[in-house]
Amino acid sequence: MESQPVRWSIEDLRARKPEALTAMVNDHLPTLLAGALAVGLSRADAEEVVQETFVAFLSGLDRFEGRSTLRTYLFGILYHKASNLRAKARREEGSDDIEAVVSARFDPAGMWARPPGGPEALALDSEIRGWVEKCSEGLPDAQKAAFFLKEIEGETPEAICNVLGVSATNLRVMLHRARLKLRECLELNWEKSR
Amino acid sequence: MKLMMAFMPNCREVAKTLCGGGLASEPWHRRLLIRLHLSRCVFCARFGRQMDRICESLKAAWAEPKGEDVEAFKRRVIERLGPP
Repeated sequence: MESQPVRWSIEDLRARKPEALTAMVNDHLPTLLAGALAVGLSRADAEEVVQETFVAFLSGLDRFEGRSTLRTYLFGILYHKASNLRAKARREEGSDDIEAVVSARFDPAGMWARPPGGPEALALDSEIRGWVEKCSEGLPDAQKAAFFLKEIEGETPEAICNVLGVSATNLRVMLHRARLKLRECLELNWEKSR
Repeated sequence: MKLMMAFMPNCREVAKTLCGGGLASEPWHRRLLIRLHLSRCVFCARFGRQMDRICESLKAAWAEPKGEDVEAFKRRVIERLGPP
C-alpha cells in the first residue's frame, strides 16, 4: 500500500519538526538535484549545492514570504549558489552570435536560403538525445536554468523571471537563443556523424 | 485564398515563432496561418520537428534522478538539517 504524503507547513519547519524537514527534503530534493545537474554541475557539486540550498533556506526561513511557490524559491537559492560555484571555473562567455548565424540562413524575403539540415526519422532517438545533452552543456547557465524551469518544470514566465532576476523580454530572448543554439549544434553533430 | 497568402508568415517568422513561445503563444488566426505554412513548407516542418525532438531529449536527459543513491543522499541531507 502506498504511504500517504506527509502534510507540513512553514511553521512546522520553523519549529524544526523532523517529519516536516523529512517531507520537505523528500518533496523537493529530486527536482533541485535535477536542476543542479541541468545547469551543468557535476554530481558531487550538485549534491553539495543542493545541501547548501536547504541549509540556506532554513537559516533564512523568515525571508520566505510565500509570494512564490516553495519550489521556485528553493530553485532561486540553488541557481545563485550554482552560478557562484561555476563562475570560478567558467571562462568568459563570448558574444552571443547565434542570431547572426540564424539570420544568414534566410534570404531578404525571409525564405530559407540555407534550409535546416539535420536528423529526422533516420537518426536514432538515443543518438539525438546524446547530441542534445552534449550540446546543452555549451549553453550559458542562465539559458539552461530558464530552459529547465520552462520545459521540464513547466514554471510560469513570471516565476522564472523572479528566480533568474530577468525581465519577461530577456527571458523570451534567452529561451529563443537556447533553442536556436541547440538546433544549430544538433545539425552540426549530425553532419559530423555522416 | 489570395488574401490568406498575403498574410502568410514567411519562413523566418515561422522559425521565430517555433523557437519562441511556440504556436500556443500566438492568436488563433496566426496559428492557423502558421499551420498552413507548416503543411506546405518541408523545411519549416523539419525545423519544427527538430524543436520538438530537442525538448523531448532534454526532458529525458534532465529527468529527476531516481534510485538508491538519491535515497541515500536524501538521508544525508535530512541528517544534516535535523536537530543536533
